[in-house]
Amino acid sequence: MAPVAVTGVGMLTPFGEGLEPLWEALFGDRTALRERPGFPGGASGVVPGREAWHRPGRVRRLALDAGRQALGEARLPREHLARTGLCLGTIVGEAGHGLRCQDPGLSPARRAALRAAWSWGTLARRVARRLELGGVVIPVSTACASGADALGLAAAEIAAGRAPAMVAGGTEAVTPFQWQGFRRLGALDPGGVHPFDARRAGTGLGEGACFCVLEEESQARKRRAPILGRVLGWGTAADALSLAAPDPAGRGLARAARAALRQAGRSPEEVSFVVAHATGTPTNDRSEALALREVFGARLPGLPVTALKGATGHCFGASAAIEAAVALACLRHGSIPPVVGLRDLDPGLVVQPARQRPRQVGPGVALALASGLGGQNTALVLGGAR
Amino acid sequence: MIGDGLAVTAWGRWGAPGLPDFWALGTDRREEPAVEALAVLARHCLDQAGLAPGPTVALALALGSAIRGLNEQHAQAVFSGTPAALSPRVFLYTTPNAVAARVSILLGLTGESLTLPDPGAPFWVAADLLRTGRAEVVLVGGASAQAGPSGHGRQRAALLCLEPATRGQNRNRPPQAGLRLDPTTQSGCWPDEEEHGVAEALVGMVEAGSPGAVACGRRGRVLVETCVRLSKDSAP
Repeated sequence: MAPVAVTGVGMLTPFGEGLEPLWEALFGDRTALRERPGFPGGASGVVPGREAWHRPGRVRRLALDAGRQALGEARLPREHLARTGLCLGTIVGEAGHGLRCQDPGLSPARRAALRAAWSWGTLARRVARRLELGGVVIPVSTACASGADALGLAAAEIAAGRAPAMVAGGTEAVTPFQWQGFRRLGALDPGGVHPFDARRAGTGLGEGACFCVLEEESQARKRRAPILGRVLGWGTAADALSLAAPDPAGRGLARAARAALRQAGRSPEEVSFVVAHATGTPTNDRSEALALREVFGARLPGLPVTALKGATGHCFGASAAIEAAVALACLRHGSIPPVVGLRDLDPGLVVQPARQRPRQVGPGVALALASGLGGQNTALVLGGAR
Repeated sequence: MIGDGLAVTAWGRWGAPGLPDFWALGTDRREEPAVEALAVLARHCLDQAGLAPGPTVALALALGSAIRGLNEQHAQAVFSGTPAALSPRVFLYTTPNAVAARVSILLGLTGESLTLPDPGAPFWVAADLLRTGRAEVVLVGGASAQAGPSGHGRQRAALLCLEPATRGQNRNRPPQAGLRLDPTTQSGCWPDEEEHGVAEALVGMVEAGSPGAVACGRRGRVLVETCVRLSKDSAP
């Protein structure tokens, strides 16, 4: 795949707006997760100032704010917007609409409107319209890999010559819809998220949105846009084993990582660090560690690895896009943050994630991994600005 | 033109005569209606094209309204404070990719799997997967539940097996039709609730042996080229 430049990044996370508050929290080893009223039995992180899940169109608003930040940073000329597309990843989209339309007091017309708005395609088109994007609109829903797949699909659109620029990423909100579902699956840990830790017992839910502006590199250079990094490769693979659990041997994730490296024309030796999916569930982290061992072999114990969900919680469809954006920032800064929530490394895992203090990383590319319910696996290979 | 050289080597429409029974897949329990429809169609397409499942076979599916009934069930249970009364399986099906995942599990498809809740987008993604060599075969299509909770009788689904035209010829399987994507034509949007629609329309054209075009919203059109001409051109 021809390299695609990232010229703008916008995000909302449980630490606030933009990359900076998240970056500070990660390097300060802080978490946003805590128990909240209405979300019992686990820890959650919500975007500050926007806690009300029942606010109409909340998922769309999160996406719009992140998209506007990204477009602002990219300084994309207005005349380019007509051909710029949108690739929007989300798992359940406006699930709050789905809950509200159960209210028996609603008028039939209001209920019908809410049902119609609870649609992946409608959400994506509304965001595109509000951002004044006139290009292609692609909704994608590949579980927790949605944000990464949105970036990969957008890069493919540009590489194929169908769009000169794309806004791509993911958006998701914490609502009782997901909360009760994850509780029912027994996947939540009331004590927070502890990736790769011996005491890890489940995940915590976060929310947010992260969108990047991707462009043909030649266009970006021609208009002297800030180049924050590059999308070099994208790979996906299905476990084809279970709806709820990952492949215990991590084979699907390893195939996705190899596919992304192959597309990027890079070898595992050229990967300077990994941003892991690391949900903090016993099965996910073990499976991911085995996938990394399959890809990196004897090099794995020395390979710098970081993960974000101990700080942000699992932001569903937005999480992989947030992680990709942080990976790009790590490439620019030459260091990765410690894994928030990790104290006692599970000795059964071969990985050696950064613990309690940042770790310097050498030149090379970053590998960002994502897995999801249904055995969905995605990997992105990301490069620096050069 | 993007997408030139894409061959349709198999196709199917849910409800059409001649499809295998769901139980012929060797499963021992019923599945969600969209899963049953797409699994049967995928098996039919692979058999018709003379292909085996594996990591080089990708899925690009349009799914959304097919799971609306399950989303509603889960939302209703959460709203009424009784989520524990529902099987966790219902929650798992609130994300569209669960359908593709079950199809992958039932058929052993370990290649790329992308769920795009849009009737036309899977065709463009399929073209890219083939053009870039990420997949050798893509099963592309979608499913929709036409009304209310997803009953078996209300499911609509269609699937096409796409390969590079040269690959089908090498296997002595001349394409039955060719697909061409036209990114330049702007047209109206296909309705959200009919994710299967573009695939079903294309299958209809292939079955009728007539060329035509289906609008895919702002993505342009998917064109079915003349079957007869393609078959003659590509005869081994």
